[in-house]
Amino acid sequence: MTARTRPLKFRLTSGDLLYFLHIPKTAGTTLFEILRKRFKPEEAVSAEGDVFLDLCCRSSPEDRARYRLMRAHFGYGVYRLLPRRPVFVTMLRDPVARVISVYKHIRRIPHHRLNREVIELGLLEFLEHPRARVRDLQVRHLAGFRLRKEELGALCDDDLLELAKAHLDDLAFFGLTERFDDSIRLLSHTFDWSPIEGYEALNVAPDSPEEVDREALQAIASRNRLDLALYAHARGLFEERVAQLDAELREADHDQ
Amino acid sequence: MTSDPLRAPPRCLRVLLREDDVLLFSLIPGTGAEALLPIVEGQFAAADVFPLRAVDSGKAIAAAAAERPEGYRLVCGNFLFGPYDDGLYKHVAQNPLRMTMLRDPVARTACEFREIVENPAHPQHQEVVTEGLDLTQFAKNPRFRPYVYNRQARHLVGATRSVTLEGVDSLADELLLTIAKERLEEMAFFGLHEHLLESAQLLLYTFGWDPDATSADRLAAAEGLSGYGGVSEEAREAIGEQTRVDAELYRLASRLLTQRHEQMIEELIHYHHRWRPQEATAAKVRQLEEIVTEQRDALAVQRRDLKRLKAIEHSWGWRMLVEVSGLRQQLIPPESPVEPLYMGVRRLLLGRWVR
Repeated sequence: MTARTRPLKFRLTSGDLLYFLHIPKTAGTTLFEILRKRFKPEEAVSAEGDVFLDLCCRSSPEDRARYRLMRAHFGYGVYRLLPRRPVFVTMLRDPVARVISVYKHIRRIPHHRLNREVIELGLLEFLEHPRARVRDLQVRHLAGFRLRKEELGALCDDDLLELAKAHLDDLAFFGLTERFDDSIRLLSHTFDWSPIEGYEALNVAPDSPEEVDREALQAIASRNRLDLALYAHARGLFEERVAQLDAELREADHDQ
Repeated sequence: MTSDPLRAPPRCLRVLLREDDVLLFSLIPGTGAEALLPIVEGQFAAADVFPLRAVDSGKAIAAAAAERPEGYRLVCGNFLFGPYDDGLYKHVAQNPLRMTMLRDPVARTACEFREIVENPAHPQHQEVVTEGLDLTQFAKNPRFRPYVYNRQARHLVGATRSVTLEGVDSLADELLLTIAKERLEEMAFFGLHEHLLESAQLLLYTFGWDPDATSADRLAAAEGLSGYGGVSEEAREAIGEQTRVDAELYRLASRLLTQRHEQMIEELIHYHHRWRPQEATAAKVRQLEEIVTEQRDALAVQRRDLKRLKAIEHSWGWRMLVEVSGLRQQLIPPESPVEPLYMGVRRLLLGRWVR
């Protein structure tokens, strides 16, 4: 198969709704703050669960029409709730690092719903927790809606991965946590925004010297086979786009 | 399959078409989508309509887009759309509002075959006519697979990163169907050829367009036309083998269209009820009506009394009294010394009738 290139630029119209598909622990909080500054306060909303569903389904058309930026942990299937196809943006992260970050986050935040259950658990035990949600979460976000297994029905794992890749390929923008600065450069170029500077990393765990043992790393990897494949695909695509970005910027400088 | 869209909370049907929106009407061959074109094109100025109806080349699209820097508002045609298409995404719109029409896959294929046979300008016309192919042979011939194999699903999936139009064949059926369903659900509107009138109603409702009185007649006529002759069982089977994904897509589309049409009717009824007079206002209106009725009755009584008084005034008895009264005032003026004597005699004679 031949891989094609696509234009980087995306012209947002007055009716476009930017939906930030926020996958937990991918530097999404920081990115959302950056995105929020591009819109008026009343145009941006961040919500979860039933509050978000009410917003999409039960608010008046006039209320819905004023939103231009939404953030939620709902997956790609959120388009079914919205009157027009949203413009998707997201961040991805190395799956192993992401799971470790989730574990640390839950233990660090006393009011987290799983804090009391997880605080005494080691990483390996955490991976076995029934509500830990550490298995291929990024693929599930990009493939589905509520992330439940039954929703994604008859699709085998490989088809699930291909579906997530197809959606990722079509997103107006995605970034990588590990390449945050380049992601922000790509973001501002994509939507033709002025260069974004001086952003502050939010919701970040303090640096911890503890190392993760090899057994735990392998356990995480085995539970995230699809996410690892998706991330490898995303890295390749991201490098292409950054190279394309640099080429377009050089061309623009040359024209001037 | 992905989550059943028929169990998802229903989304808002109405779509606000803004000044900088672009509407992309995908005309999939053989679906009869052209029947809705007069409705759609009638909503836009001619200059706002993209001049091409099919992809000649990326350069042609770029040139057409460059001719109108302020952009187009309507694109109609047989275009594969997506970030990796031949130029529509780059030069015209990245997130247009989309609409399309679907049709029963067998009927669609038969209709497109007929269009190829009847149109000498069609790229496949010469080959099909020269070889004298019938529909069954056409459907079974690998050379014409792009015109038969799940044509509607592939059109909806559009231009993806890792495949070309021919390469979409490499997508597993489940995946092709899943993505095609998503594209369909994402659309602002889709219609079905076999339900043209309902589709047109939903189209008008979706974008808030006014119905044209003549459209209903044209649509009824278009719906009555099958667009193709009967299909043999052999041809039906040959087409069916290559359109399983399209068949499933069509089944979903039928149910979804019915659901949306019903939702439209419910919303219209709800809208009508919101604007009827409230109960409290109706009571007040009734109260006011009662007051008006009372006043009207009182006025009628007054008119009757006035009429009676006028009758009395014109009677000889009244005229006599007036004459006598006038004579009395001449003979016995008020405040004359004889007045009290007159009044006393009058009281004595008339008694209780005199106040």
